[in-house]
Amino acid sequence: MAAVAQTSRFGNIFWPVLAWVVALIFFFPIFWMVFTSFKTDADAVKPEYLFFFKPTLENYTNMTENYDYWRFAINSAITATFATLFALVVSIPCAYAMAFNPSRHTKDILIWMLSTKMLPAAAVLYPMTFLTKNFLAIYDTHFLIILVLSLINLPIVIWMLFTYFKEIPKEIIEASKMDGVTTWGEIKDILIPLAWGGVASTALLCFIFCWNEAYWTVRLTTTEAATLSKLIEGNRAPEGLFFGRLSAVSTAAVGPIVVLGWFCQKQLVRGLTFGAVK
Amino acid sequence: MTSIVMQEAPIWGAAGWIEPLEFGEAYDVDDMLPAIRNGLSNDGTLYAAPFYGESSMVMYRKDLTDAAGVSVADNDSWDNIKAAAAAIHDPDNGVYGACLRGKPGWGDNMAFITTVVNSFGGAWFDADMKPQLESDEWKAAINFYVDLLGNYGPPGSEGNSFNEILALYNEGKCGMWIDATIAASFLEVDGVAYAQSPNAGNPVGANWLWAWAMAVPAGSPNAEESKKFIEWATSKDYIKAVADHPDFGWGSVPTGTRASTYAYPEFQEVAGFAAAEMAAIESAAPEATDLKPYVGVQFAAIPEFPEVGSAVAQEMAAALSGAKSVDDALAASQKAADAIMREAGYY
Amino acid sequence: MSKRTLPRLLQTPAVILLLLWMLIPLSMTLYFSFIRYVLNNLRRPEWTTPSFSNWRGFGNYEYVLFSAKDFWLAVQNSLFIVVCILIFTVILGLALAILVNRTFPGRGIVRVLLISPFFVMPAVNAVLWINMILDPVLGLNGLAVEGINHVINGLREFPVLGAFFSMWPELVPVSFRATQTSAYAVIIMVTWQWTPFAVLIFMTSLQSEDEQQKEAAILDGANAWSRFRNLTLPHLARPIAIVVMIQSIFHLSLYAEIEIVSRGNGNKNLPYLIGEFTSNNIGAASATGIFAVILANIVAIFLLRMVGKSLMD
Repeated sequence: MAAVAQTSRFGNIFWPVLAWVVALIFFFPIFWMVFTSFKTDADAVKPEYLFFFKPTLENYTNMTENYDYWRFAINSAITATFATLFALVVSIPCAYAMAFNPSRHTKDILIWMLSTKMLPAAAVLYPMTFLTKNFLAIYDTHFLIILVLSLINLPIVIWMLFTYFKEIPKEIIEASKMDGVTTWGEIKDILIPLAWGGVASTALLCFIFCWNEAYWTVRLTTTEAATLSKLIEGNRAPEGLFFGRLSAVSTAAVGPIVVLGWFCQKQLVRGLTFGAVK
Repeated sequence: MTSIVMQEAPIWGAAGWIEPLEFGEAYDVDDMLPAIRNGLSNDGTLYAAPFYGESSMVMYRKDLTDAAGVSVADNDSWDNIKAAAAAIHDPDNGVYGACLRGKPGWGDNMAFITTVVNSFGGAWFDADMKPQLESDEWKAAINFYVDLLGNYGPPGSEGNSFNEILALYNEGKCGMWIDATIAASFLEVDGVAYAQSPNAGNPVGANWLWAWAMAVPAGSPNAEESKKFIEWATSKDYIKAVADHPDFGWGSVPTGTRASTYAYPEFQEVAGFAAAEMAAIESAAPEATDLKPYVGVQFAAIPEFPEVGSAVAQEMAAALSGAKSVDDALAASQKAADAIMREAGYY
Repeated sequence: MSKRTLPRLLQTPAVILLLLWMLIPLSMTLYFSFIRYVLNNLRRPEWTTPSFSNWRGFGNYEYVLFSAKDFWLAVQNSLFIVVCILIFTVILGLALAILVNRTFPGRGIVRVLLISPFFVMPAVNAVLWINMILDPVLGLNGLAVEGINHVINGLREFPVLGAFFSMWPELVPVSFRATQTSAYAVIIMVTWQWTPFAVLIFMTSLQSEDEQQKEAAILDGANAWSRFRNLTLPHLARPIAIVVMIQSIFHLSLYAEIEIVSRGNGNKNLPYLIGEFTSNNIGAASATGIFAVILANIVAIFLLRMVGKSLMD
């Protein structure tokens, strides 16, 4: 026992310090991006101003002028919000049916839904462009991006809701059936209030994924519905590399989501593991 | 209306995807720089009107060359360029002799590399459109390029294109840069001087030619209005209006499109590079010749070029990185280009 | 309405939407992969409209496999990147999860810092790393090497020490955009982004570990390593399998990072190759797309067999 106590005394200092050091290393690139965003473009590449410099907000105040930031940010917000809502509207009835009236095919359907996530997006790149541009003429519209974002996240949303709904005792739903409540009433008045936390965290996670999506939002838009991913990836500064302003716009693009992410760590685990790790 | 680049204009015109452009007397189409006009035409018919044009030239630090006792002349020989780069190369003090494009892309490293190849007398294709990437000219040109940039360029050159080099140049890290003429308007260091692109005794296509232009898609319902708009947006009046606007001025006018722009003393005053740019554009030769049986200087105006160019671009970056020998990279390039051209039904 | 109809009806919209989303584009890809189809070709304009008269059989597949460049590079590299990232994230993730599973001052903050990279947009991740950190001249990589060289140059001036330091070679910064290194740059940045994901999942799972069993093992004199091997690792088997599965899905289709780091120089995967073909040769792009689907399916079958069951528990 003495040996255990001794190691833990040493460990009580060593391990926490190591944890702090590693955490700071992992956070460093983000810190560096935020830090650099307060330097002028000229200072940002000068070694003499590496750590000590005169901070400026000009990269942020010029963000609209340099990058038209708000247009992209608003597009991101609109598409992510509506895609999340649409995904929920489609998923809640589906997950409800799967959780409370499972058939022998339910498992297969769930696995099949998961398998659609494994389809490589690039494989259908041209057909998607062709369909949306030449055939449906919805290329570069908010409608298209909302639809695509909600569809790619549908499997995760259904899975997540399914695991939350499954935790609700079946008896509650059965009891309401006895009372002659309609299905719609069940969902609206019983299911959603009971699983409110689960629905909210599913929505939050879906929103994060939509915001960060970078394959279709870059390839199915030009200007009208272009999101922040498109701004960063497709629209690099035409006249030079500007570390300062690039950092500012990147910070503004990822900031809201990183903060949102801090609040839904737990839900993230559940969503990303399809409920298998809680 | 659609926005189009010089590589596409002749192809899209030939394919009938865009309409021929004819403008009124006041537009003064002859004022358009002839090289640019040629580059946007197919068989003598203009298909797109430029709102920006450029060529390439040498932008070197005269303070450094003077200190090192070397000089750079217009249309210098490549050997002298290398000697000058070697003389001003001083990596211990953070100055690299030559900053050149190395980032893979048909419009990135291949734009510069093709001008080197042209000046060595090489070409992408022969008269049967067979790729010529293993010719002696290509080998000599690529060996020269890898040698110059590998020995006297900054580390990480295989990732550098216009933006990256501009950042380096403005940090005072580059002794010499050969790139788009427009770069001159963004340079903020002192002592910059310009020279026409070097050549290895063959001035044809030693400097590139590029333009962004506007065109009218064939069968578009409001073709007439689009033509009207293009006529206005690329006119002399538009340039004058930008110059006279309090928020813009002569520093922001579209460059590389019209001779009349370069004739304004006010423009020459704000754009110290104007004379060099005009000379570079005028000397660029996009037309097909016996040596180079396709339209385009640093590209070939065929639909397959972006694919060929990108494939070769990656091999050139591999040669520059030292992952492959120049011969191996060119052999792989030839194989890839041959496959693409064969697949496209050229032979 | 019968007892079964309503649940079915409720599932229908989701199922139909996903079915359409999967089947329509994929069947078009399949069709295009068997015909001659290019966006523009002046000599053979008939190839620019998709039509059965341009039927080519397996010609596009042959072209992609045997004539065009980089197919095998892309397959190999797809797997190489994914496997490397998986190994690094799982090992690092395990170590870090165990590290932050103890209670210590500021643990909440440490977790928040650790998890943050996961929420960064892929494009921002790539732009940030390749320019501001890894650039061999202007990035921290270049600045650090320059700084070290500077210090060593200074030390050479000292009388006795100088002799030692003059033997020290001048450091040359590594370029992460080169053919030889570009895959590693992508592996570094993706590992940075996804290790937090592994940490998060392992951490959650560790909290449900049986503490009593562990204490009993301590009393039995089992050392830390054997406790880890015999108790913790088996407990984490399922989360590890899930981390592997999810990451494989995401990393087989990496794109932005590859594009931003090196534009396919020395490092490309099947999605990137498809993107290159899509500039003109749709037939070849589609054939490559079918190969990518097949590869993804092989991986998926393997993975679902591994974890599919545990998902349903």
